[in-house]
Amino acid sequence: MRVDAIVIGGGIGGLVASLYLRRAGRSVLLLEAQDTLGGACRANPSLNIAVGAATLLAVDPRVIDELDLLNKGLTFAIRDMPLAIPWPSGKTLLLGRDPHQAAQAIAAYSAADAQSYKRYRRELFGLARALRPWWWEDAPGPIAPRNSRALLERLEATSAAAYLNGWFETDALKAALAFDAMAPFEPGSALALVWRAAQEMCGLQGAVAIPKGGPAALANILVALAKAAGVEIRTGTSAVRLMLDGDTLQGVELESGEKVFSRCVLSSLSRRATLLDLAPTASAGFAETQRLTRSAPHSGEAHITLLLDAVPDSCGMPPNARTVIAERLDSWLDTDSSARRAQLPDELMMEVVIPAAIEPERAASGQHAISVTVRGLPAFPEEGWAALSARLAERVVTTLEHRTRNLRAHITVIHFDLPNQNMRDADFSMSRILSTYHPRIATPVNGLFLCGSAAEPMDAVSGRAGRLAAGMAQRWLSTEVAP
Amino acid sequence: MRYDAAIIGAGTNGLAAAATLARAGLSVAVFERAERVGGRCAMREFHPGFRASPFCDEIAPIPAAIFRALDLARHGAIFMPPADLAGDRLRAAIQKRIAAHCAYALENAKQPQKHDWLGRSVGLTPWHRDSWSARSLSDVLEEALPDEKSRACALAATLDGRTADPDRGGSALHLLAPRTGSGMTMGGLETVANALQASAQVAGATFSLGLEVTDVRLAKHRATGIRGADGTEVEARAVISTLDLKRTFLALFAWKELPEAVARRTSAFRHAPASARLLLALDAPPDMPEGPVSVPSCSAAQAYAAWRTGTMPDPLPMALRWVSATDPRLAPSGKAVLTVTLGAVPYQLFDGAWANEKRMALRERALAQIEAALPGLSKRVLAAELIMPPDIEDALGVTQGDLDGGEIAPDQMFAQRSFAQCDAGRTPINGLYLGGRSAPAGPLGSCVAGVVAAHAVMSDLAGGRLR
Repeated sequence: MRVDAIVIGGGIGGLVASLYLRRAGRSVLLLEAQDTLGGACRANPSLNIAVGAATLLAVDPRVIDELDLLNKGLTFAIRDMPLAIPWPSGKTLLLGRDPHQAAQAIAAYSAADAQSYKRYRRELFGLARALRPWWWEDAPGPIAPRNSRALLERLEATSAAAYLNGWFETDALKAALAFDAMAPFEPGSALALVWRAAQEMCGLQGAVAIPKGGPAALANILVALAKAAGVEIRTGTSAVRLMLDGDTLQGVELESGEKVFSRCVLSSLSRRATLLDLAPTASAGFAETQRLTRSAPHSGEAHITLLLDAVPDSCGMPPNARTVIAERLDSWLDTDSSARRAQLPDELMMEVVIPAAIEPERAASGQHAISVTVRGLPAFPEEGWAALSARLAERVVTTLEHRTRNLRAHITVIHFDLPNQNMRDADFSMSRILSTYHPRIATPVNGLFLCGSAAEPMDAVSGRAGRLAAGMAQRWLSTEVAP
Repeated sequence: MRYDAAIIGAGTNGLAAAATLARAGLSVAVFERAERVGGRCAMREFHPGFRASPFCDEIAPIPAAIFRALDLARHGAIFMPPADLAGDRLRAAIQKRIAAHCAYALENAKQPQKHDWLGRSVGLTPWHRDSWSARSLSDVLEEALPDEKSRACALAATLDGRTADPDRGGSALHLLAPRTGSGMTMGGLETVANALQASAQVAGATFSLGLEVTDVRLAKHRATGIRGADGTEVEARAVISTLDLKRTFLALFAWKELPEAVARRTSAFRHAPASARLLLALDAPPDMPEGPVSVPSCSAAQAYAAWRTGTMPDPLPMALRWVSATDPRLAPSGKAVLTVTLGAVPYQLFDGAWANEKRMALRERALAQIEAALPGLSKRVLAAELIMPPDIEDALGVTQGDLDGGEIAPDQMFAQRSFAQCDAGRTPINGLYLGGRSAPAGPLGSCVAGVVAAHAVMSDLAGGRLR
C-alpha cells in the first residue's frame, strides 16, 4: 500500500494534521493504537464520558477558523472558567476574568495581594501579548518592545515559584496560581505562566473553556470531518517501525507486519518515542540520542473521572469553576522529589472541575461527573501503576471529602487516565518553550515530522503543531524527488 | 574632606576595590565594623596556641589579572596549590567558563555607561547566557566524570558548606560560584587580607576600623556619603557597599526612602545559609591525609530536603581538613588543628532558634560521626568550637550567615543577580554600588565584584555622572 502521508496517533494534533493534508489534496492514512480516536480528548464509549482533559485552554483559533469548526457543531458551553481556590479557613476564593473583581475578592484575605494581583495580571498578560507571535507563528520576528525583552530575560531564569513569591504573600494563592506552571520550581517555569496567558479561547486571552459535550466533542467533530474528507483511519493499529533508506523515509511497518509506503510520516508521539523507539537505531544522531535518553520525564499527570449518582449538597467546590487544591507552594518541592523517587507524594496537587452546565442531559438522568487532574505524579512508580492507581483513587477521594462530605457514598464509577509517557519529552524544558515551531516539528530524518503535543511549547491540546506540521509536510511532499 | 569613594566593609572585595581605586589615584576611605580587616579571611585563636580561620579554610580563587594588577604577591599573599578534587576536564571547563564571565564583567564595567532620554542604560552587550543555567548539577557531573566515585567527590566539594537539590535545573551554577579553590595560604588566610590592605594603603587609601556605617546619605535620590555609628559623617562621590543586598538596603537606608522597585527586589531576594563550622584542637596529629576528607553522609538531595524543612540531615554532610598539616604555624608543635565544614545546617530549626542545648547536641553528633570515620580521634580533642549560621551572621554581618551573599539560582546569577537592569554592581540609586557577593560578579571569585564595582565607579567618575 502507498499513501502520500502517514499520521501516527489520532489525537487532536494528528486529526488536524491529516485534515490539512487532505485539504491540500494528499492521501492520508491515520493510525491510532487505541480503539477510540481523540487522544487526550477521547471519550470512553462504554461509560459515555470524556476521560482525558476536562478543559481546553490552548486550541489554535486559526484551526477553529480555517476548518470552520464553529459551523460544524462546536459550541462552547463555558467560555471562561474562573479559578476557585479553597482557602484554609474553609471559604473559597473565586478569581474570574475581571482583575478588579478578582482583586476585590482577594482583598478579603490580603490587601497587599489584592494590590499586587492587578499588577501581576497586567505584567503577565502584557508580556504574553508581546510573546504571542513567538508561540503562535511558524517563523516569528524578534520581540519588539524593550521592556518586554528585559522582562523575558528575567523570566527565562526565574522559576514560577520565585516569580509568584515576588508578587504575593499568601501561600494558598501562590500554590494555586503555580498549578498552571506544571513544574513551578524549575528555572524558567515562570514562562509557563506567560505561555498560558498567551493562549486564547473563544476570543478571550488566557481563558479556560469547555465545549458543549466536553473536550470529546472537539475530537468527534474532527473525526467526522476527517472521515468526510476521505482520510483513511485505522484504529487499534499501531506502527512498530519506521522504514528508512539512508536518512530518507520509506514508510511504516505496522504491528500486523504490513508495510505502508510513504515519503512522509507525521508522529504524535514524543520526540523520544519517535526517534528512539520507532526510528531505527542511531537515526537521530549520537548527540541527539544521548540527549533524548537523558531527558525522560520523571513526573506526569493523571486524569481521574468520578461518576456520581448525585452531587452532594455541601459541595465546597463551585460548579463551572476549576478548583485548584494545592495548600502550600513548598509542597510542589516535595511532590517533585517524590516523583523523582518514583513514589506517590504526600500531598496531591489537583484541579477539580464539576462541569454541571455542559451536560444537562446527563445531570437530568441522575448522573454527575467530576473530573480531577492530578499533577506531579511519578511517571514510573516503583510498584507500577496497576497497583498504585487504587491507592491514588483512595487518596483523591479522601482529599475531596475534606471539602465535600459524604462523597464516597455517591461514587458509582472511577475512571483512570494515567500518565502516558510516550507523548511527552520532558516535564518542563526551557529550550522547548523558547524555541520556534520549526525545530520542534522537524526531525533529523527527512520527511518525519512531529505533530502532537510534544511539538508544542508546553504539553497541551492545541492543534497548532498539527497545522504547522501539515504545512511543512506539504512543502516536503511538493519538492521533487531525485531519481 | 570629600572622598572620591567610600567603601563599606573591608573584606576581600572591599579591600580589592579600595586598592584598585587608590592605585588609580582616587581618594578612598574604607569603613569596617570589626577591629581588623579581612572579613571571612580573619583568623582567631580559638584555644591557647591554636589558630584557625573560623569561616573558611580557603577562599574562591582570585583571578590572575586582579592578583597581578594589585601586586598581591609582593605584599605577601602566597597561595599553595589547591587540592584537586574534580576531574581535570571538568576543572578546565569550570575555569574556562568563570574566566569568560569575569572577563565580561570587568570589560563591561570599564565601558562608559550610556543612557537614552528616559535614563535607561543602553548600548551594553548583554551578559552572555550560560548553558549551565538550565542544567542540573548531577547532569553536568555525569557528563564530565565517568566514574561514580569521582562524581560523588566533586558533588561533595561543590556543595561544601552549602546545600542544593542536585537534580534541579540550574543547580549546575554552583560550579560557577566556587567558595573554595584558592588553595591555602602560607600563614593563614589573614595574609591575603593583609596583602590587599597593604596594596591599598601604599597607594593612599585611608582605613577606619571599628566604625560601623549606619546610613548612606541621600540627596536627590543619589548617594552622597555615609554616616557612622559614632555620628561621623563622610562625604563621598560614590559609595561602594560590600554588604549583601538585603543588608545594604535594610541596614543603610530607611525603608521609606527606597524606590519601590528596589524594595520589592530586596524583599524577594533569597538567601540559602547552610554552613556551620567546627574547629578542633588536637593534642596529637590525626591519622588522615592532608586534603579535605569527606565523611560518609546522606545524599545531597536528602540533605537539601531536610535543610528546607528546618531539620538536620542524618548523617550530616561534612568535610574534614587537617589545616595545620599544610600550615604548621596554626598549632603548637606536635599538636594539630582540624576544621570541619558542615553543610545543610539551617539558619533556624523548625522548632526555633539554635539554643545552647541544640548546639551541644549537634556538636556531639558531629563528633560521634567523625569518631566513626576516624576512630580514636575524639580522645585527642582538646577543644572544639562550633560556629553556626547565626554566629556567622553576627561576626560578618552577612544576612542569615549566607556566605554566598544570596542563593545560587538561575534567577539570582549573572545579569539577574541583585538588579537585572543595572550592570557592574550599579544600583537604581545613583552613586551607590554593590561590590560584595550579592553583586552580579560576586559569586565568580574573590575580589572580582569589588574590582568590578571600582571600575564602574571610575568610568562613571570619568563620564561625569558623579559630579
